[in-house]
Amino acid sequence: MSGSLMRGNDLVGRPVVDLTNGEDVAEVRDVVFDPQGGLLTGFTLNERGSWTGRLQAVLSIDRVSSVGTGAVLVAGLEGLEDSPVTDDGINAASDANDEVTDDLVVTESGRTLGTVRDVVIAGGPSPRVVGFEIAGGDVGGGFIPMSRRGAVSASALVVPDDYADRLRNDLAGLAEQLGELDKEDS
Amino acid sequence: MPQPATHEPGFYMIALLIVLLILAAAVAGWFLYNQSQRRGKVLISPPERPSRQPGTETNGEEQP
Repeated sequence: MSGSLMRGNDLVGRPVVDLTNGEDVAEVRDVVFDPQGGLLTGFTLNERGSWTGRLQAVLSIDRVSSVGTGAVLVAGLEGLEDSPVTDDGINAASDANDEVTDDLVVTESGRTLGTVRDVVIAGGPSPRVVGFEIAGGDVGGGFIPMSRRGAVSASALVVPDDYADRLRNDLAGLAEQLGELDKEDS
Repeated sequence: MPQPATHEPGFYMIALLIVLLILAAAVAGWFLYNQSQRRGKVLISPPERPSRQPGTETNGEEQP
């Protein structure tokens, strides 16, 4: 796992900064990720400023240099507002509006652990969803790793039975669990 | 010669106040709508559907 851990909803509203000239060309609206593996596929964008609207252009992840806790860095997005860049996958996700928040979190044996409050993203050049913040279940609230073999849909998140013991109260605890999972897989 | 009827000066003040209130409500409504449109979420990519090209639906035999 590389990169700092951050909540997905904290990334919403972050500036998109062009590395070539240091300008913040847009800000993040939606964060889109692939449920099979958790890799981010891209972002929909807003214009900068509270009184402005949404940008037609979307930002595919292959145009992103890095995702950090404070900004999304890109290299060269001249004329983003003038020539909208479309991506069928990102536009389809935005149209479908399959939000992961409020998804039910269940174990493989059917036990309900809670509902999703947010995702946890590992930043860097290849950002990916590595965990979820859950709440409202009988195990209490906290952070749980994303299962390497589980399933994520628009309505439910399935995790292995032992993941109930991997719930931690903060991102540091989640990072520790992710490190343990990496060791088990290697 | 009868004087033409005129409104009290306060009438125009109240009318102006009402117009300003309506304008302020319209601006506030637009701002709230705009904020709702700007609000972002974390979304799941829908699964990719296999592309269907015209003329590829056959009885199982490959087209030359």
